[in-house]
Amino acid sequence: MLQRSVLTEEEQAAICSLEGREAGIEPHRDIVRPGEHTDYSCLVVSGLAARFGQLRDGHRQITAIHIAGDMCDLYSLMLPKVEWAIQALSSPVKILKVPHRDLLKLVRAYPAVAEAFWRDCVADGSILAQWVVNVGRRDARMRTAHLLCELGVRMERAGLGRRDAYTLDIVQTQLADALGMTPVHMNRIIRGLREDGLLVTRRRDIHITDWAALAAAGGFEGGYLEYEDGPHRRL
Amino acid sequence: MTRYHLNLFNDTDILDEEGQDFPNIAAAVAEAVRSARDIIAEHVLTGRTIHLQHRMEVTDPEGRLLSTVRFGDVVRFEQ
Repeated sequence: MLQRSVLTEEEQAAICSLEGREAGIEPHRDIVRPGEHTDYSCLVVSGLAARFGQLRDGHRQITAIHIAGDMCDLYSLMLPKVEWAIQALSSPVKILKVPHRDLLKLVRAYPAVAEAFWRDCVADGSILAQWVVNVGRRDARMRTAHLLCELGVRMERAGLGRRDAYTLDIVQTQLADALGMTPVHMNRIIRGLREDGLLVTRRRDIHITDWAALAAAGGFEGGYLEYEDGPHRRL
Repeated sequence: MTRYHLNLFNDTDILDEEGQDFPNIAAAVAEAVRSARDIIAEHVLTGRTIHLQHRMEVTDPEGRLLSTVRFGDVVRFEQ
């Protein structure tokens, strides 16, 4: 949040004094079920979580991957019941459940914190907009390259690795569900990217050996992950 | 759930090292059909040649072949 928003020490302290309930979620378990009415929002402390929609036949589309430091359902403050779900990906996830009433008290007392939350929601929306372009218009190779670049930048900003070297602890079906293709097809695409010398994968470790080429292959421009003025504050 | 491996024998061979879990072999074969169609569709979109003899193989974790899905069996053409 501090990468997007400037907050005073008092505001930061107010956020830190929020009392959340820490919960450990096993891999593949729901954090928020579809249709569940929640009275808290979740901060991802560690691990990876995903928001997804599911069809009757069981097929899924992952619509967001949340990494440590993401407040993964801030929107639930305004929309406590949604039809999508949030689930732990393939490793255990630690979350902090922060009650909505405390969040509301906080944002009413500190408008800058409300702005910061708002900015986080905008960031979520910007990423989602890119993902729509991904599944709608980018071909399989392009969208895979785009997502791997995006996750690299996000991991680096969150202090979880380097943009060209990070660990993506998810199984192939989950990554394929984020890309809107079958795992077999995705593996074929990743093999192609490897053979072209763009990346090396070793188990869950992604090593992007030619960032410029992978970004070009994905048409990736990271502007949607940045904020024009950087952290700013109008006083 | 049982672990199955869906191997692709296309212009390049992709062995499914990780595998996927399915309730039964029928579900694994259905996914193999979906995968073949997914790859064929991408080939159509990017103007590549589709080889009807290319195939998907479904194996168990020991590598035993359980089923084969040929590309030619999952698309229909009419003149």
